[in-house]
Amino acid sequence: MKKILLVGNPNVGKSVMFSRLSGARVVVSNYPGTTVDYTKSRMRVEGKEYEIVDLPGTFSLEPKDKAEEVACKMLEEAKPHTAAVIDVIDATAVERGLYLTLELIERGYPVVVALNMSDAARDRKIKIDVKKLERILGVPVVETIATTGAGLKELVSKIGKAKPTDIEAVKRRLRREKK
Amino acid sequence: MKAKARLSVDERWELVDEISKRVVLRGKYKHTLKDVLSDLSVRPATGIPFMIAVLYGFWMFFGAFAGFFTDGLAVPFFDDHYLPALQGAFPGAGPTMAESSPLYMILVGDPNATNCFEAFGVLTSALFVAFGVVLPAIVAFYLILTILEDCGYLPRLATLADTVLHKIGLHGFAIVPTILSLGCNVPAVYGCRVLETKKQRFMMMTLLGVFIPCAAQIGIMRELIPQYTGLILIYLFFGFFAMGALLNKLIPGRSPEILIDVPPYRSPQRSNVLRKLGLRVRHFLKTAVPFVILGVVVVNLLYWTGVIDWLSRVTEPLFVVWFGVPAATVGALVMAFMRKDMAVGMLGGLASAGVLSTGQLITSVVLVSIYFPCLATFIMIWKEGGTRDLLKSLGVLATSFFVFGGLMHAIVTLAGV
Amino acid sequence: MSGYAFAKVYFGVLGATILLFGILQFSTGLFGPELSAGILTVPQDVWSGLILFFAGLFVIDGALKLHDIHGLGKAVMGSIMLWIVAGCDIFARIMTPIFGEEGWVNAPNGFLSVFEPPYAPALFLLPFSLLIVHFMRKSG
Repeated sequence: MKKILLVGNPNVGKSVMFSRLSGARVVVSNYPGTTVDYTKSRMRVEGKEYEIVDLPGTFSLEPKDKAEEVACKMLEEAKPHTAAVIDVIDATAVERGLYLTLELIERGYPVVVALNMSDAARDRKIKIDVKKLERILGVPVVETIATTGAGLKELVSKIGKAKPTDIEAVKRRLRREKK
Repeated sequence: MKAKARLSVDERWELVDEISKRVVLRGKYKHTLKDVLSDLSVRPATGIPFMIAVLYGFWMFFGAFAGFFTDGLAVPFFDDHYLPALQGAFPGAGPTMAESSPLYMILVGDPNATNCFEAFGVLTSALFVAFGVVLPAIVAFYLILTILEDCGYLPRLATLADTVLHKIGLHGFAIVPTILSLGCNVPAVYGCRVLETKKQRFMMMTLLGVFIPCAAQIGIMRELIPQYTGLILIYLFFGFFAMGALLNKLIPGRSPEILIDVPPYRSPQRSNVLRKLGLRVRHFLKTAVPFVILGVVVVNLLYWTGVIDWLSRVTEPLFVVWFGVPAATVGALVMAFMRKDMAVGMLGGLASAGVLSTGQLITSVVLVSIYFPCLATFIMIWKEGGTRDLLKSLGVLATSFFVFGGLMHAIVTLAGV
Repeated sequence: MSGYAFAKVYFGVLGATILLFGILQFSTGLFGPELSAGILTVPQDVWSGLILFFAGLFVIDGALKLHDIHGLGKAVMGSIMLWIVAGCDIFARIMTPIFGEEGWVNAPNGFLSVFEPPYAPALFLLPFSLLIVHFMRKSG
């Protein structure tokens, strides 16, 4: 069975998204480091059954603690069977999330970006040009609010469109956006 | 797939910077009340008094809630209705426990017991302790903890604790497993994975197992010796720091400094709080209750076969001389290796019978609290840290047992209680 | 602005009262004896006394610059601390009466007796502190 992996920095709402997407019950809290091991469940996307995995939060693919190690190892092992990596980014701290996104792109994972907590970003007067970000990265980008479920339907519909891209292409597209 | 180009860390950050410059627009941001409160709760001058208020609320709620279900509902039901009925109806009762049939002894326990705490049977003590004392304590604890977790207060507590914890080589975030541990040591040991180095993980697991009593233990202490519970907890926290500082000196390895990520305050969602509470209580029922029941069976068998008597005789001089507790308590203290709740129950019985002085009771309860809470904690430390770490942990446990038990003996002797 | 002028005095006085009772409660907690006057009784409790002491300080400090979000925040924090102390008191009152000495459920008059005065200072101060909610709403 193909896998869908939920990846992202700590405390960006991966587990909330996981319970929303799979209906599985997992412990969710508002502090980093709640999930220290991966959790698996099933979900259906367009009639096909997938295994969805909630990974511990990590800042990069070079692990610093044991929970991050779990995440990186899982990513490595699951690579051949991965249908999509849902890269969850905290919309109020895009930069930190993008670092991990780039690493995922470099390693050739098929990525879909979920800009989560977009409500908090709006409260903080942070505007993100989603279309432009999508153009630059070359992967689908969806704004979501996992706690209320907003945007998750769109996110699921984009899972099929996740394709690997490469970093040189990202650089090229970035230069084009400059002009 | 062709080989992908990899960037260096700096190149990657540069690229992130370039991208965010083009897609992220930051409007003028005014401080909201939430931000101000967030700020105030991490600044020591305002944060520490606020922390005291939060912990006070935590403790008072815990006491009122657990007290209601234990003293208000469980105690009258078990002691006045259930126990006499069971003692009367179950065949095989003799004039004393030793003269009853083995089955009676294991399932019902003491035929003359007037309360379920001191009956020691599977159907009496074990059921009463698991559902009457421990379950309310667990529910009360996790209800508050879940709300604190979901609104985002815990990381602020971690920031405040950082200064103190750094003195013993731990990161502020270690406060999170510490607080989890006051509920149940098992998920707390698991939670130590967020700590960065092996040294920190080992230290934390050990300190949790040795010095932090779980909600079950606190519930039992509160039930038997409510007036000393606070005092004993403070003493144990003191032990936590003293031993932590020592371990920090002794164990090689790094304790790096990292910044704590403080998320914004959010209002907890009722559905999530209830779901999480349900998950945790179910987890407790599945893991802890079988242990409690198994523990009663094992202890009753050991007692029946005379093993406990023999152990008590062998270790008696140590307990009497070093810890200053009377010989009568040795059985209870030996038993506590397997069954803390029952041990505390026996101690309570001895104290009310006048065999134990207040000081001796406090010392005994401290000793009982220093043992790991349960077999599950042993297994968890073994699973997370391996055999070597478990053995080292046990070494720390034994040392702490002697040092802090002996010290408490000295304290109560000097204080004259 | 006159609304704020009134509020400043109001919360200043409220904060001072909280502070005063905090000191009283703390010192009776340490040295006794229990103080009781009519329907008011000061519990001998060091911890809640300490909390009220700081709550009072924060409310006073906040009241001085209530128009500013930082001042308001401090007053709110002080109020929350007061609410915690009062909330615990109310919760404990609710949880005790359902069982009495005799059995499971108390007779109705026994049930109600727990809610009768005397009350602790925090309970008296609670309704007065709720005005802060209005200012919290106003700040958004």
